[in-house]
Amino acid sequence: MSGNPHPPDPTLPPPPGEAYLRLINRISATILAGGDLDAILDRVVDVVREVLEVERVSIMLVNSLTGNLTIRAARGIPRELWSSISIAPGEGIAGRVAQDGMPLLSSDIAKTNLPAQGGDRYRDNSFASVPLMIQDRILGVLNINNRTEGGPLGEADLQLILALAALVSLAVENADLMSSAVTLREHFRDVLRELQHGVVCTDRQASVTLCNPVASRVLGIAPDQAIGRALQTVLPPALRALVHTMIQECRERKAHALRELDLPIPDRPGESLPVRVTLGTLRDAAGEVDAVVLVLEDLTLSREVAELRRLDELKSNFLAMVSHELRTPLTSIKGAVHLLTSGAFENAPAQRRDMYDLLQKNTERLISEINNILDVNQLEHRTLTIFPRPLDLSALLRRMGEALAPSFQEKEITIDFDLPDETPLTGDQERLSQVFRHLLDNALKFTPRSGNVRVWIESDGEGEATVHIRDSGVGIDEANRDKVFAKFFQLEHTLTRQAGGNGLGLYIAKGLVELHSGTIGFLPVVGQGAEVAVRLPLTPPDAQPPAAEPNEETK
Amino acid sequence: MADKKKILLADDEEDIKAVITLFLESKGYQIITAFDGLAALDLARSEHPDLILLDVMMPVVNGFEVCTRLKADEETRDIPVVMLSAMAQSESVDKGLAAGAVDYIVKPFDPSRLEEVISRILKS
Repeated sequence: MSGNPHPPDPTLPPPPGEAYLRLINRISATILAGGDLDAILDRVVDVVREVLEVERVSIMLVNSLTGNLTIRAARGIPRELWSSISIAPGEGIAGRVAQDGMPLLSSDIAKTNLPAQGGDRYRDNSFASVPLMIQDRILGVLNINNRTEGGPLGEADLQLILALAALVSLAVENADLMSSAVTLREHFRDVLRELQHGVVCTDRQASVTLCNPVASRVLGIAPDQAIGRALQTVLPPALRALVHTMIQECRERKAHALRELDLPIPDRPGESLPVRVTLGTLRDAAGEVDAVVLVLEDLTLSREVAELRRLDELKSNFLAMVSHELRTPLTSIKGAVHLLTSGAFENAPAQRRDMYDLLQKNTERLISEINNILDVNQLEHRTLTIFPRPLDLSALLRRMGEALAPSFQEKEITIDFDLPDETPLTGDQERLSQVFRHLLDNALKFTPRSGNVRVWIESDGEGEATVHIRDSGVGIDEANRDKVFAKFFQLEHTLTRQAGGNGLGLYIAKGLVELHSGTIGFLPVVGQGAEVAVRLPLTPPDAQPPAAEPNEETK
Repeated sequence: MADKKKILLADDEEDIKAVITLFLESKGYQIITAFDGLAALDLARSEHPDLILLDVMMPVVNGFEVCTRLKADEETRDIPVVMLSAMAQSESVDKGLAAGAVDYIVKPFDPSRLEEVISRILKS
């Protein structure tokens, strides 16, 4: 080693001696020996002190939070002092080196105007302080102080120290990258573990490289059993062909593929989970498909929320409609009462009579509307009770026809009954009358003046009778044939009134027919008009109240 | 009263139509009636009423749509429209006013109030 105490000629660095090469070799080996950064740096400072024969060696790194230099490894400085040393950029020798990114060397510290490192604690004869850098980024400072043997540190030593600093910088940078990679991986794993979506990733060969807990639950496979296996073997049968198609689609369209399906739940036969499957492919620089990312989203909750919203809206619509239907007869009642009490018909008894009739009719309508609301409520809570007794359906329909005859005559609509003399049946007289009254009312409403309505009974002789009511009115679109049985079907679709009526009638009729274990529906019609068919068992299988067989369709 | 103000009343409820007609006739107005939205549009054009009372839920063309069309037509644009509806929600009221109605009366209403609104509009 150089024993020259005088400033060397900086333009002519001496060729590295064998001892230097040995040192660099040792440091490289030390760094490559691995371990965490603290262990590596600790070994480094040890070797440096030994080989350079110096009193103190310290490696200070820039604290990423404060920007100050703090000691990460040192020899010759008591460990208990390390934490008390924090040097701001520009402060002292190390601070200046860190700030400027230039090494400082003094072979005779007394000749510099720099304060001695460590203040008065040490009596140094020389020092070298070099930046630890990767490109222009300062990582820290390597400080070497006070050679104990062979004279002060000189220019020749500096070359060696710079080489050492480069090695240490690489070690520090490497450790940083490693630790960010580890942090990132842990973060990624935590996120995937907490994610409410299932995620499955594969490599280029379609082997599974990742399967998070939700995916593992949805697919019914343990995560460690999934890793390394071919994607297709990990998927349940319901997904295999689908995912295959989605991968093709993804490749062709270079966009995500998306599907929703009900996936059978593993180990729970007959049950299924609504799932949205999103499939994406990762590409390498050449645009080749590199990996597949499969995301499985459990739609149970969002479907439930959507269903609740829909029900809430239906309820609001129902209330608005009920309000409308109660307000309408009340408008006539309020107007008529005003006219009667204001004495407008003092001398017009006929008009007064009309007003009383109108009051009577609208009061009845109001009561009927309130009964309808109560019926709907009871049907929905399955508390509506029927009282079946033997009755004659033919007679019931004939009586109904007689009662409605004046209304039909008023619109010049002919109504024909083609009924057997007798149709004995067990049912609730009141409730069945309610059903057919509503259906005949509808026929009357929807049939234009001078039209016709036909009513007949078809009996198959096997314990059933079917009542058909056919009108020559506007008819029902095929798409709406089932929907008309929903509550307030009319309002839900348009503000434009299709015909009078409150929109609850068919809903109630359906519920009542089903309580009789029957069915009701509109049939396809050739030509104009609508045809409704009510099929009733002659003897309901259970002539008791409804609790036994709740009907599924009354929602 | 040779110079009776003419009011077009469009409503599909026969009883409501009858009661309002009797009431307004007793107050000296001439009333013409329409059963559905399309008839209301035709009568507005052919009869040039001084004011139109419009129900909302009517067959063929609903009241909001009738009002919008009246306001879009040069011939009927200036006829004041009052909505008369059992649809009581504020959205419906907003919709009616947005369609160009000058007022929106919720059913059931006090007939005297209807008359007040009519006479105020016809005076201005």
